[in-house]
Amino acid sequence: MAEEKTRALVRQFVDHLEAQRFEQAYRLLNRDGRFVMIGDTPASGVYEGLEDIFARLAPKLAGFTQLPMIKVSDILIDGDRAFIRAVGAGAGAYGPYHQPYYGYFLRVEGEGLAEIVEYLDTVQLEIALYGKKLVPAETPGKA
Amino acid sequence: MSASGEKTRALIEKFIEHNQAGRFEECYRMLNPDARYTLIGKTRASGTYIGPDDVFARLAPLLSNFTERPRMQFSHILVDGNQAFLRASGEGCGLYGRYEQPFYGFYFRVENGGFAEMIEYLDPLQLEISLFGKELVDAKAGKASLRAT
Repeated sequence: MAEEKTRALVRQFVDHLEAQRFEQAYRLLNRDGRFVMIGDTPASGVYEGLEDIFARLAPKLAGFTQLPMIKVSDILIDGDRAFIRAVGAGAGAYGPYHQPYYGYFLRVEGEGLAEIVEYLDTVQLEIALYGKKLVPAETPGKA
Repeated sequence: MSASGEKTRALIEKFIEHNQAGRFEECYRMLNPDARYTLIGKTRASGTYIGPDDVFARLAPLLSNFTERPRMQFSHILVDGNQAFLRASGEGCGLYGRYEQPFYGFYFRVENGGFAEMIEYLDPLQLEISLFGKELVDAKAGKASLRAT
């Protein structure tokens, strides 16, 4: 039963993701749901609830000039949890954006998602959206 | 759980056991000879390796930049037929500083009693900074990023 509910929510999440309806995908989170984007980029962090996502995260992703086109390749479901493997490509204000290995960990609670963790290549965000580049550090070990 | 799921779970538990005991070589030896192991990102260590021999020949030397191998805590195990996902966190130390991965992920696909595919999800920037001595700067100005961390 739990698995059926998870499967239905994951299906909706994937449909929204692949149709670039990212706001709708986030809206599958419960009001107090948690969204995590890994890393230390300006967009990275833990967002608590929908309002937090739309207030803090959405503006940080406004730098996409071409929203990522995401294609899901694998869906794993185990009880109230799921993992989605995907690839994506788009463009940011500073160049092309390639994510050959996206991953989404989802956890279901009640009628919605209690948690989404988005795995991705954080350096791609830094370069394509925030205009950064990697160089040998003057003081190695400092971000 | 299906028979396939049980086999997958047994392999995943063995992988975790090796990892927790610090037997990292044994973890990689669970890959089939023609398996694909991918470390995400574009770091020097990133890419796809074919089978354990390729991992030991090309990846292992780069991982010697760890002065303290990451200690991992596994929080979630998902098994669905011949596929699995592990969520974990880890901390260690590289030649250039602390190495922190609060959101590790491992995707597995099992075939013929071993791993046919393994993808390691992590924050590649941590590798760049802690293991390879890089830093992020503004691409235009060429100046170090002043972002507070």
